[in-house]
Amino acid sequence: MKRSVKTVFWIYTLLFFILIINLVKISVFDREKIINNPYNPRISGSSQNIMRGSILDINEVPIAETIKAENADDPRGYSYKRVYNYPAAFAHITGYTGKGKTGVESEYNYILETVTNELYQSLAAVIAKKDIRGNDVVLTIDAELQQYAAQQLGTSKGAIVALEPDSGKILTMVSYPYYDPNAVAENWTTLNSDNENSPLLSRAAQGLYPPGSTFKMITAACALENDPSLLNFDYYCEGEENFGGKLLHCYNSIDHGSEDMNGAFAYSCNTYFAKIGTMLGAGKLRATADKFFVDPNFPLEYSKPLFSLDESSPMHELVDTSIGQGKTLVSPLFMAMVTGSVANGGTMMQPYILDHSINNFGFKENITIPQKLTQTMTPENAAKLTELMKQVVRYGTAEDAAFSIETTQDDIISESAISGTGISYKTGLITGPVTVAGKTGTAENSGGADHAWFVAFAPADDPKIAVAVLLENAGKGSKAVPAARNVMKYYLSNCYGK
Amino acid sequence: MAQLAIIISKYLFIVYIVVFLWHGFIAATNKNDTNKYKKALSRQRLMMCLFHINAVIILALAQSDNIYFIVTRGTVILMFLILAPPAINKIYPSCSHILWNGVLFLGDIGIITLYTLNPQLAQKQFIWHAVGFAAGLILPALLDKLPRLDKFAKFYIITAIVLLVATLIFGNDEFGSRNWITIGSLTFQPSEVVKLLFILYLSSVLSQNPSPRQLLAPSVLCVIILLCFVAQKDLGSALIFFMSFMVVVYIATSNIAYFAAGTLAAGIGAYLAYLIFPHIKVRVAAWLDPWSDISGKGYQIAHSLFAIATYGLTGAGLTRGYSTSIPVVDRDFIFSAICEEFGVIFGIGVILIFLMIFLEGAVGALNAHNRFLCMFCAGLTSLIAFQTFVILGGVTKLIPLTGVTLPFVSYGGTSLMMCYVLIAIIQWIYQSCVQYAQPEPESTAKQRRSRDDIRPARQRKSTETPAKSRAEAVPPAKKRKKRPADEDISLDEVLDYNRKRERK
Repeated sequence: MKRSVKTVFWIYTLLFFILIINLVKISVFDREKIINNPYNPRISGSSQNIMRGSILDINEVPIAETIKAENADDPRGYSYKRVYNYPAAFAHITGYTGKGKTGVESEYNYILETVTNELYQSLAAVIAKKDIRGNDVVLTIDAELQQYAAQQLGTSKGAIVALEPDSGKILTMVSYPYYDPNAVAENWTTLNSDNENSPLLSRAAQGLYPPGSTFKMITAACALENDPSLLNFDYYCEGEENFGGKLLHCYNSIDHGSEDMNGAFAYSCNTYFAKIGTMLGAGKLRATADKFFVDPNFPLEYSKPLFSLDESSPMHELVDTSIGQGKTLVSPLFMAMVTGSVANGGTMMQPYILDHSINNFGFKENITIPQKLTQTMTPENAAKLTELMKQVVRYGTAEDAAFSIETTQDDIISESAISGTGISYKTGLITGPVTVAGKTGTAENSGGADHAWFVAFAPADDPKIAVAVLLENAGKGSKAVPAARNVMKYYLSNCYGK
Repeated sequence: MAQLAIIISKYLFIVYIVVFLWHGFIAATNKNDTNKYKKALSRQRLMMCLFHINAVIILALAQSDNIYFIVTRGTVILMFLILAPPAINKIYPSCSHILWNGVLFLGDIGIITLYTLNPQLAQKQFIWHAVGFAAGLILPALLDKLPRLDKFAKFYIITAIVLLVATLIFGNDEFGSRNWITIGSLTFQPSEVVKLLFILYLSSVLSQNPSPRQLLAPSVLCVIILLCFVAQKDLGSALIFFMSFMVVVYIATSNIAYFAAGTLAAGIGAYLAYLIFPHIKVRVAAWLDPWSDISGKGYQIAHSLFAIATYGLTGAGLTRGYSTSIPVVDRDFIFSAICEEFGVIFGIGVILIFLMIFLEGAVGALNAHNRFLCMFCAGLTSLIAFQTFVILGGVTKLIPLTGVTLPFVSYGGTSLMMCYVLIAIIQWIYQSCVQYAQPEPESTAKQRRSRDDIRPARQRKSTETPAKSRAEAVPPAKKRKKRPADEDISLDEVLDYNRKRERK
């Protein structure tokens, strides 16, 4: 019986060690996952005793930082104040603090408020009156490009989103109208009551618009997936056609005449793609769309795109959906992801905005590793679709998108020292004429003039940037194409590889 | 400045608990070496007081508008911590001082944590502690006056059943369980008393080596009481009760087959209960995946895990946690608040203090001088041990959550009083076996001596790593195998054996 007593107490020891092992598992191995749960109240708090970390661009240029401001009410004689250096370009990225938090300020609050090396920092604070600092966050965005993109947008309502197709890294994301995050508290009522401009809304990620003709990428992908011979399907466009009682016009009722998919895609023929859509049927279109409409779990405020077509939908809805009208609604970010997936051989990457964080020791932490989000189409079909999109720029609706990059003195390495003759360029740079693949869109909407869309990627054969531009009520193609071109050109000549 | 103090103290608290445990280990392995033993014990008490003083300073710095209240109450509690051990020493010099040190330290950790939640609550808790401690000092003296506790089996079981029936009829709901009785302004949980009475009954009935047929009646009664607990939605009590029952039966019979059969039956019973009772289904679902429904069913577990994991191994620092976001933080989830503010390493220290207490209980059971006391001591230790395991496992998502309090730490008068009663009885058994050991008749001295031989063996083992050796504070079985003649012989067994031989 003494032995059984001992057995029992061995069991206790075992049980309590299991308890300890489990505790270590939670607090060490599962920790990251548990902390970052949005329901955890600890990640949204902030302390007046800590100098919140800075938000930096990819070159570590401060976008938002905390400074000491004189404050007679505070016993220390100062208080911390958050300053946003690029309100116009970065308002919707950084978000704001004070009246709650949004954007990066909210999503990465825990990093910004985490004090590494706390004991040392607290000692330094008491002895040397230094600040106790949170960790810095480094974004994937280049501030120069972001400002340039904001200039391209100018004062027209809309958004520009650019990302790196093979990683999902957001390169730029601007929306207009913006607000000033430095003065959110002062302008709180105005900002919230301005329903016409809704400056607090990040149009790039939260704005939902009909995709217009840019949706023909998905219709074409569906056709290529289900019947590759549809690429050569011939059709005579008379400028309009009646689909089961629904009369559909091409833009300005232009008749495109006899065409196959190449021509129809390049000239954005509505009747052709409506015809293709009716031939495929709602079920197949839905199946393809489901591969694109995947929740990306985007870190900032994001509105899910809507796609409601299914087999029970009426004919007119199928016709409308095939050409990007109907009930489908998408954000510019989503269209950039779709374009990026075509550029990346059908693989849609998880979009991300946090490159890494820097702790108090200067070490990189929280480094984002690019992740595949979903496969939207096969690499072969992506290549075929790329060919279609190249023709849009070569002779179709977006001839204006082509550009070439001049070399600058900086790019030249003189080889005279080595070989005595000739010059050569730094490796990894893109120079000369660049092939662009793109698709224009004109989205009819109930709120006035048509929205102008342009999505593109470049260089078409080795894509480095995919971009989506939306201009509200701007009419056909107009300024969207040059805006996208300029952003791509600026990125490839001034940011990529430098 | 206060921030710096909090951060430095965060590390000091870990030092206090580690040194406390280390000296607990030294004391447990050097019980024969009076000097070393006493020195280790006084170091433990020193750590306890340092912990308390340090924590009160932090609390006073952080809640500067409440400074008078905290400092005065803190000083009173400090006086209690300083004076309690000599009082024990005076009245019961041969009780387990390690056990009392553990209880006092756990109690103080609980009070300090309650201070960060609500100072009024902490003050009430301290009064309960003082009352419980006084009861713990009086009870062993009373028990000495009632020598034959094992003669009243029927009385225990009838009282237990009456209490259970009374709860079913007069009980009122609190914290989701229908297991509270209100008499005047006093509310208490009869289930706590029922568990104690049943262990007492079981130890009395099984104190003669039982035949399988004799096990039948206790088993049936156990199932009935279990069903009562489940019907009252008191799943925690059901679990603790069943596990303790299994432990006592296993110790009484030394037959692993009963253990296996019982576990199997319990598994089937638990599965049936899962199918029948919707409230069990909800608990299990919340345990399996708390993340899918954080605002609903998974709320408690998810917020407990947030508290434990967010600040990691060293914690946020005292007063800097988000205790208001933890559900039932003063009772069931107090361990999560401890882990959040003191850190997970300190939390592990708390678990080890509990383990230290249970191993002292085991020593009491091992040295008990008859079967009844041995089973009784082991059964009572099991009650506390499983209660601790059930709630710690629950808040750390190791097992489904069932609401019970953490012994000595959670706020709550009834549970605290009950824990002190259990500890007092364990102490009574512990010290009586030491006292009985001294004036022994010549005939039994031989056996006693052979049993005492184990102690040096324990000392010899003490050079090993602390975690491993702590577990081996129970005398190792290996040594005993070499000498089968000594094995498992208690005084009563020898007398029993002799009596049977005479009859033949």
